[in-house]
Amino acid sequence: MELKGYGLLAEALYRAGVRFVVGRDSDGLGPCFSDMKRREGVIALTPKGDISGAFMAYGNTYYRHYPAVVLASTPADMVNSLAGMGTAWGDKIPIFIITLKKERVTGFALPGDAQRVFLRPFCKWSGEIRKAVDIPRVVGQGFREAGRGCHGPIHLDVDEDALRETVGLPAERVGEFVDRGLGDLEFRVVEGDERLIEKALKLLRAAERPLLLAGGGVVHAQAWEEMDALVRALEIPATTSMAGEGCVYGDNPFFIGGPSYVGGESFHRAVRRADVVMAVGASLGGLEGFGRPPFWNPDIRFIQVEVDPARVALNVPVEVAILGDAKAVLAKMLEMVKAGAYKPNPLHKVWLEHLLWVRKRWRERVEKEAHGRWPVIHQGFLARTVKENCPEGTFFVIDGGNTALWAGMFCMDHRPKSALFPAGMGTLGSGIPLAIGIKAADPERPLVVMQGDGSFLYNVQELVTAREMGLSFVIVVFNDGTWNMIKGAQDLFFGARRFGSMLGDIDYASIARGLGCYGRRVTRAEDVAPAFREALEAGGPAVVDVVVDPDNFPENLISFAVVEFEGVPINPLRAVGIPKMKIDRRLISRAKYALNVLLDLDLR
Amino acid sequence: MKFLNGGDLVALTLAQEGVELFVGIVGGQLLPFFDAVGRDPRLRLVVPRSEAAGAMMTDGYSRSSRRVSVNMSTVGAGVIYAAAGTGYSWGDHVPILSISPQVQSWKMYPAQESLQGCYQGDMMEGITRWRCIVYNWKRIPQLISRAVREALSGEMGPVHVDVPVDVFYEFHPVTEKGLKRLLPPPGTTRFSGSYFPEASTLREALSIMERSERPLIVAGACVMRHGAWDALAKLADRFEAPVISTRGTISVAVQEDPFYAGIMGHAALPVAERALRQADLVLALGTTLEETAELVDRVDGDRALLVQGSPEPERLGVFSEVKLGLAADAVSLCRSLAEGIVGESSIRRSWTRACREEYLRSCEVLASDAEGDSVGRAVVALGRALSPKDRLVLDGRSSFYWGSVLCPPRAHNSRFFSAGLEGCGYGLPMALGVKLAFPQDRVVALCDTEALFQHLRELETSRRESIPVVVAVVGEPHDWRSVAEGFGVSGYSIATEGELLDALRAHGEGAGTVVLDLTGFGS
Repeated sequence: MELKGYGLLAEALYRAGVRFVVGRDSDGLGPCFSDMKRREGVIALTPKGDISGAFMAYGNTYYRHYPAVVLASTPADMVNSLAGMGTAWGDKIPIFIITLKKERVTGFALPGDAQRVFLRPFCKWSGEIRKAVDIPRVVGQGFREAGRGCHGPIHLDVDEDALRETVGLPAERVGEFVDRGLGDLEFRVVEGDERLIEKALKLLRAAERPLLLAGGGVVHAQAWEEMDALVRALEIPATTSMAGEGCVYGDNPFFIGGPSYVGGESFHRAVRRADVVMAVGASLGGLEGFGRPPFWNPDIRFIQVEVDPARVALNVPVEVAILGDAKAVLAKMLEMVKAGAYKPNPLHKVWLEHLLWVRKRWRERVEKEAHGRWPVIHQGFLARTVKENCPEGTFFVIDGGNTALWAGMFCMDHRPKSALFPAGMGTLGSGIPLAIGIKAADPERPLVVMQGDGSFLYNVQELVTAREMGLSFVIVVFNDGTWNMIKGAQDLFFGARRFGSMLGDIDYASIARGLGCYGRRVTRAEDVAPAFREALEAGGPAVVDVVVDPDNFPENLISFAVVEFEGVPINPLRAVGIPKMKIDRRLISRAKYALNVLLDLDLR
Repeated sequence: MKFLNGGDLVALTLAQEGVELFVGIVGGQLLPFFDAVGRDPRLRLVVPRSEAAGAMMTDGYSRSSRRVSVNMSTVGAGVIYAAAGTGYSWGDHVPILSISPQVQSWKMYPAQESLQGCYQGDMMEGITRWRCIVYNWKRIPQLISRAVREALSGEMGPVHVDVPVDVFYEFHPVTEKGLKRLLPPPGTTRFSGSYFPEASTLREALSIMERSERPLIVAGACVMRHGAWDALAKLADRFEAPVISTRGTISVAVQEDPFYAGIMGHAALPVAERALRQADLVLALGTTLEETAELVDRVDGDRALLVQGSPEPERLGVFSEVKLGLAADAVSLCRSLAEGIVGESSIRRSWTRACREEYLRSCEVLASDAEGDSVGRAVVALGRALSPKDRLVLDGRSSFYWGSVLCPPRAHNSRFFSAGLEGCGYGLPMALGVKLAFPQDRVVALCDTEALFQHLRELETSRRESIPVVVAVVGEPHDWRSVAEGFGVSGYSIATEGELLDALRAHGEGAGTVVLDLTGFGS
């Protein structure tokens, strides 16, 4: 059979290592999808909801550290991909989206380069394929662009005619032609300058209260082992950003809690009083308070290990910038430390012990509160109970507002690639399709989605996709009948006028069962563990819908809210209204947290 | 004297513009706006379970009512979902106002890795007619009014407004007098009258029309957007010309109209394609750029003259094959042409009759084909069960193929299909929007299984917000009854016409939303 452009595209993607494709058999890119489907080791899936596809690609790309592909034949496919693509962009995940460029404007007026313009805000790079013979070269270039420096989504716009073109190559020459066109897909890493590393080490040693912070860049560089080992070698307190979760291990004696403000009072203490901070692969974005006041010490001297020169000093001035791939720099640093370039400073131990004391104090309070005797199930209790009943090595996908903070506080192993929260964009509804993408990469690994009720329905139809694929995972719905993070702000600033934030009592277990999946509703604390274990055994996607307390919010929400609303004028008169929230002693704990983090106090 | 924040001002401006419907999912940065809308008894707030569906709901409302509605989605994460729905409005020229907050104005551009901070305005560029960022509280009334004006002008379409969170929350004391000065008085913010085609061009068009023997009128999107179907009917009658719709303008005519000859682009209605090829004059009225582009391919340039009428002068003659361009609103366009015709033509009458007869024969053929097709059978039964006042949204290839002919329109503005994006899934949310516009009418979404999956979560919205619609599913079998019951709405597996009628009756008697699983009909 003659090789056509779509076959060449499939061959190029396959030889480049793509093993996960979202699309369908019909429409312009359909033949390419069908071709990929037939290849060994490829998971080619058609989601029930087109919006979910790009999220699935994200999950798979994140887990495999290798681009997954979304084939978007129609303008509808393209606009549907935006949510997942924007989410991937927010976390610098290199998914590939391939669109079809039609010769003539019909049906939908997207003339000329409009498709590339449309996707540009979320693309690191956009290439076009005009002729079939260009396919391998452009695909290869796309891979190199995706993987170099700071990662991000890639867009390829393919001419319809190029796909239909006959490629005049004998079958035995195709592989070689493609490989030659793809070129070298190895990513050349930038190694850090030893002199700068030495300077950084000197600065760290001389510091009184240093802090190491691992960011998402460490995950992208797959450098968690080096990071964790370096922390132990330097004997300096360490934490992570939201995206860097798992890069300093939970059993690391120098880990002071995290990620970011999920790490609560110890994280706050650390960034408030640190004098030197080394940020590795971290841009210090909004979720870390930008590395600035009100929470961060304005006098911090920063060291930054960063692969992208444009991201050096993005939000804070940097005294020592080391340009390089995190893995290469950390390895070199470790080597130098082992060779005697650094001796731990005994003063740092005092600092560490202080931070661990703060952590212990805060965790005790938080843990003590998360019991099963509240009138309505406490979210912390739920999260902890789920964690306790999970098989070891369970992967947590976290999707929600307050729910994400609860899960962050109680479900983290702080091990590499054990939890994912799409922190950059915080997109609700990403949970189920992300889980599918991850399970497709690692079907045997147990996986739990911790999801708010406000998130659960966004991509709920993919429960059917997961069921049909034979994937098993559990979804725990934190059902408080509200978009609680927002209701909280309404209670505080808008006189508890809860317009648009109340969902009411909805039975999500019933929805799951209607979709052919296991679904069980839980309203009593003592039923949480048995229900969750039952769900684990049930097979297929299994939903445990747990009614939790709408009047309870996680205290580290205060940290994120302060940053989110920094500089935003609040009208106190507008806040006057009839309070609806139930008052109980948990509010005292919240108040303590607020005072501790805002005023740097040590209230127990 | 009151303290008004940015959200208040946006809501007040929109209320002044006569906007009533606000659909959206709440976010911290959006709260001043939600609070203002929630507290204003003139404004209705509806909450979907995905911003994409929310956008499609506003589309259904605005598409059918011809009134602007507002889709609200929060910064970053909300607006990237909303874009999926806004894209449909863009493809079909539906006037929607999409409003989102942004991060603080001093952090917005360029992005500095704020949580959810992204180039959302740039993203919207590809699928909106106009967009802006409101940097200053004082400018809110002017820019919001302008947004409404841009959405309703010319070929119409969605617009997007970004309001940084600090501008939404910013508050100032405003007296009654001050408010009057801030808000432009109603009726002073845009043109809402008629505009007519240029006289000499009109004369030339009429002259061509008088000489034609095989004319064809193609009714484009703007005929629907301007509510010009009655004027069009008069024109068709006066001119004695057949009318075909585009896929997006089914119900621009009704099935009984003697000049109605089918739908352009429907595989089972060759009459439309044939007429396009055999016509000596094609009057593309109220057509948009993409519709004219489609026509240019199909019209035989050696045989036919293509005369384009558009409300947007800039869009005329973009494809050089257009012989004449008439710029006017669709009502004035049809009226001017109708009034200018003198005399009759038996040749045109025969031609029209022939087209009409061929269309009716195609309908019969399709009805007969339907007997041998499970989807066809189901749609025939549904067509029989529908009453003239029912409004039907068609969603999916099979639904459109069968439904557009076997559930033909018996009233104007009663059939909705989105051709713009070549996608599906909008059926249920769009039906909810149509129901919000016409609460007294029965609204039905006919969806392929593949289409209903896309936004089926909105069954929850229909229940929670008490927006009862009928959802009829055809195509690939699935246990839709269980799905419906899982969502707390009534589900029926329909195998016979009797069961169909019973289920529809239950809906009519207050059962709320019903899902009719027709995937096993007739088996």
